Amino acid sequence: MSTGPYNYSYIFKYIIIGDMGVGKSCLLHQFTEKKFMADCPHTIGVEFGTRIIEVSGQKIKLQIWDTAGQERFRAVTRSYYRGAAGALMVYDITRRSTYNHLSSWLTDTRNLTNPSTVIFLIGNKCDLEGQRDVTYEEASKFAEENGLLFVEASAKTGDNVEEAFLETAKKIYQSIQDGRLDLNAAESGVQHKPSQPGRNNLSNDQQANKDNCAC
Amino acid sequence: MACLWSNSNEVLIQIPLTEEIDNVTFYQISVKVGEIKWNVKHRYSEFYNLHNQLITDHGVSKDILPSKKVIGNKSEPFIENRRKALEKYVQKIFIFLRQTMPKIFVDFLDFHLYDIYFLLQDLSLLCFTKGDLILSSSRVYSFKPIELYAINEFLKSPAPNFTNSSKQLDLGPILDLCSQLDAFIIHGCYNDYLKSNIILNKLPIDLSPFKIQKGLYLSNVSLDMVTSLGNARETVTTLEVVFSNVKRISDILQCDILHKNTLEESQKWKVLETLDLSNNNLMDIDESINLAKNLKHLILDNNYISTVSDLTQLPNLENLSIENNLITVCNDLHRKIGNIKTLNLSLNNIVTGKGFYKLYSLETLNLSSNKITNIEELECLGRLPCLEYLVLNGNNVSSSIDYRVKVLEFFGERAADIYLDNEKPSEAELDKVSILSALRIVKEGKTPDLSMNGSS
Repeated sequence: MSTGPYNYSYIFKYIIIGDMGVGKSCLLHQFTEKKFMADCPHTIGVEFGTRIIEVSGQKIKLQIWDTAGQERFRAVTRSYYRGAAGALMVYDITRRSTYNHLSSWLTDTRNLTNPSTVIFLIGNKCDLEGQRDVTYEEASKFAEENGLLFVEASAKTGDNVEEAFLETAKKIYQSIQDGRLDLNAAESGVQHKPSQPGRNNLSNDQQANKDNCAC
Repeated sequence: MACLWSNSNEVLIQIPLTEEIDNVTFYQISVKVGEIKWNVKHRYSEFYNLHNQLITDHGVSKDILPSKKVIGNKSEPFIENRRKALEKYVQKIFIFLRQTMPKIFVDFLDFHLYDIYFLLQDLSLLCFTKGDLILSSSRVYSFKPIELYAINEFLKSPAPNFTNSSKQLDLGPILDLCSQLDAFIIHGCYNDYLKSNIILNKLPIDLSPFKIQKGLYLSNVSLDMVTSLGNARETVTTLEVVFSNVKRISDILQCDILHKNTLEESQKWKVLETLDLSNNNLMDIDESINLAKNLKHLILDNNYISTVSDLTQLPNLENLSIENNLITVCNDLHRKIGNIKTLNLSLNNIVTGKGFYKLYSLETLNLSSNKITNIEELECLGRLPCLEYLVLNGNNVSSSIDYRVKVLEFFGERAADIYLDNEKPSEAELDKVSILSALRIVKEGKTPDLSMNGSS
């Protein structure tokens, strides 16, 4: 019995949001499978993906909730904001309407997540430079004004996909280190995985773990 | 319930019967105040003690109690004579004392159990002496409907005029305690209350004088008789109405609304997090549930619900329990329920686990005692990434050969993390699981895929 994939110390929960057709599921697929899914079906309700990454020497399991962008699923997807440590807010750089809706997605995110949730803005489909409808500068400005991390990415080529997911994790991990994110809070979106037998981990205690990480 | 002060001319006290229990003769006193009747039994020595007290404290004349007799006090004619004499005695005493009603006499005739004024007097004393203790410990008090009714009645009636001023009833301690309690518990009953003809569930209860802080627990009450339940909308976080013949959720959440088909802002249960409507007669989960937007726990056990309705308007719902209902089909639950952690559907008629295949947030799933016979129906559960507690016992499938191993195999690498039927897999089971999955891989002609979780 291999315990390999279970050697991680934290679980971070992510949610991916944004208008329909911006490429949320493709971003997830690219991140978890490193492949582009050409004929991606509409997401019904919610999909799920997971991958283990490493941040500052800590193995972290990302549990990613990929929500349906269609308006009719808004109600069911809203519940997934609860307990998300990271929110990836996606728009399509070739369709201005998806960019214009960002403020409503942002309002939802701010209302339904806790203040420590890291919000990352992703302008997807940056491989389609010729059809660009939203400039990098204005999106970058929007992100800055709202305190969001921002990157343009392409689920097709894989450009910046990895970076977006990892940067979010780093930011969350930083919050834990700073003590801004309380692991014991019910809806923090971060779980600390109890140590596995045989691993050299003396305590499950958050404080003790912090000390371990610091050195 | 009795009210001596407003019915003082309609009181009838008799001793119609005697009864022998363990060689002791008891005289059954029947008290009737207006429409309310009750019985109380006392033996002669208790009359005697009462009498002595009344002589010293209340100036009752000495010689009106029938005299003591040591020998021959078991003969029938003697008991019959004594019964008549005691009846006269208690009637005489009552006329003499009814303006003052000393405590010892009140208790002797059980007025403190059935009469508004005297019951409240006791309750007030209790609240005064034990109130701080309650407030420093559980902050919960279990009220009898008769007590709440008495408070309601007392609040709306003119103050009674008993001349015994030292015993003047003070509602202060009761209302003081009520205003500070975290939770109210009210247990109703459809039978006669104690030895009286009072039926608790026929007493109207108005909750408006009480500021219910956090919890309200009603059990076996008659909802027709409870008014102002809606006052709790702003403050109550836990609401429990069980064994109360609730037919629709709107009966509770829209208890005070005449036209229940529109849900308005003002009808919202702002802070309600836990709603327990177990053991009622609910047939479905109606729209009114959406009035409780902050609901985290919804418990609807032991009802007659046949389908899981759309609960997507409840973004905080974490825990749903619909145990022992009539659910047969549950398809595509992820379109009806969002980010849920615990789902209990045991004791229903579910035949397949397929409807759960996308409830990715699920951590605990209880499907015990359903009608699942085919192990393949459970395969999709293995793909629920957060599932850790799975209960399947009591299904036909759970008595099949290698049931545990086969179910655990669906979880692949995660098998070791699964508590199946409250038990973690043993080493032997895990070994079998790995053999089975290896066999399967060979069968399907693939090479083992070790990187189940992407890059690791």
